Parts: sequence; C-alpha cells; structure tokens
Amino acid sequence: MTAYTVSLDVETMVKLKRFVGRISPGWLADQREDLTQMAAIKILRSGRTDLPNGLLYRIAYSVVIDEIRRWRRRNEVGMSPSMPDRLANSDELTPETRTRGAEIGAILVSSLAELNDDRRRAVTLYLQSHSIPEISRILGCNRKRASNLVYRGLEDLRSELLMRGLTP
Amino acid sequence: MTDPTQDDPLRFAFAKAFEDARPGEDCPGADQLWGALHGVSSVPERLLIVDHLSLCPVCAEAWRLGQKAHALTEAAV
Repeated sequence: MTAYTVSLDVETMVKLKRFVGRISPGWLADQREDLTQMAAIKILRSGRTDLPNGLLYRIAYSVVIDEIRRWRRRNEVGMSPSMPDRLANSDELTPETRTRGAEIGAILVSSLAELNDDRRRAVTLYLQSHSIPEISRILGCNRKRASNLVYRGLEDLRSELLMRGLTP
Repeated sequence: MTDPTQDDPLRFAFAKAFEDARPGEDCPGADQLWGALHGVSSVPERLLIVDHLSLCPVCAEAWRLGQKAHALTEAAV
C-alpha cells in the first residue's frame, strides 16, 4: 500500500503500532504495518508530534475505520465481524444461529427499523453490548428510562422477529 | 435482563449482519463516531449517530471497535 516509510519518534511509533493492533479486527492483521504508517502521516500532517495517548488512539481509530470502509466498498466478502470474546464463545448460541448469523442479522436490522425511535436507539446500543449506565449516558436520559426503553424495545423486537418467522 | 448472556443470539446476529453490508454515502465519519462514543458531541448529534447504527451494520462494526478503543484509552490515560 505505502511505497515509502515515514517516521515519528520511536516511542510514538511504538504506541501507534500497538494502538492500531488493538483496534483493528483480525482480518486486517496483514495491513497493520501500513495502517500504522498512514496514522503516522496523519500526525505529521497535523504539525503536532507531542500527542497524548487519547489523541493517538483517535487517529489510529480513524485510520482503521477508513480502511474497513474501503475494503467493504471493494466488495470484499466473508470478513468476520469483531465482537467480544464472550459473545463469540457464548454457550447461548445455537448451531443454527452460528451458521445463519448473517442472514438472521439482516432480518434483525430490518426488524429494528420498525421500532419507535427511542426504543430502537436503546435496543441498538444494548445489542452493541452497552450497559444500562452507558446507554443512559449516550442517549442523555436517566438510567430508569434507559432500562425501560431497552426492556420494552426488546419485547417489540421479538414480536417483529416472530412476524418474520424467527424465534429469538 | 438479569442474565447478561440471555440476548447473546441477538447480539451475535446483529454483529454478523456486517458480513454482507456495504457502507453508504451518508455514513458518519470516524471522528463523528468517536465523538459520540466519548460524549464529546451533543445529545442530538449522538441520537443521529445511534439512529444510523441501527440501519448500518458497517458503522455498527466501527462503533464496536470504537468501544474497544474507548476502553483501552481509558486504561492508557
């Protein structure tokens, strides 16, 4: 991808490489060196080299996300989505869910669209493994309301899935 | 919602939707996703981002990676 090498100080480059490695999904593992270089170019272009860790993470994140979107636009199929280890290894997953996951996922996304706005937002964050306190913070409401929206929203979502022939 | 694993099949399916998805022209930038995750953006802006996540598995994937980065950032600072 990159035909040349740019460099910041060694400590920053080591951190960038580590951050890119932590953020990028497994299927992008071969690209991590290039992604680190792209992040370094971004930093050099910003004119700042004394960036705190939080900002280095943000730049690494931005480079990784842009790359994922490029791959998706090129129609590279068969990529494994990132998900917490707990979820990937969950005993709750049936063989059918594992093998038909993408198909069920597409139905799930269309079912979500049928929920009212507040419930859909809360359930979306819940499906992203956010806790109730995190959901309340992101949505700007109190925890009781966030919990209620998730609970009612999940009920609605299950009804929608049943109507589409899926038993959640 | 007392058992955190109870809805794992739904979470798994939501993540797997990414495999067949394509980004659209109206996808928020990585900086916007980051801002919403870190509470930098306003509540109305965050709601717009969450609305988009419910429709776009590619951005939902980016959000999950951002969650991981968010946790790591907190640990690193």
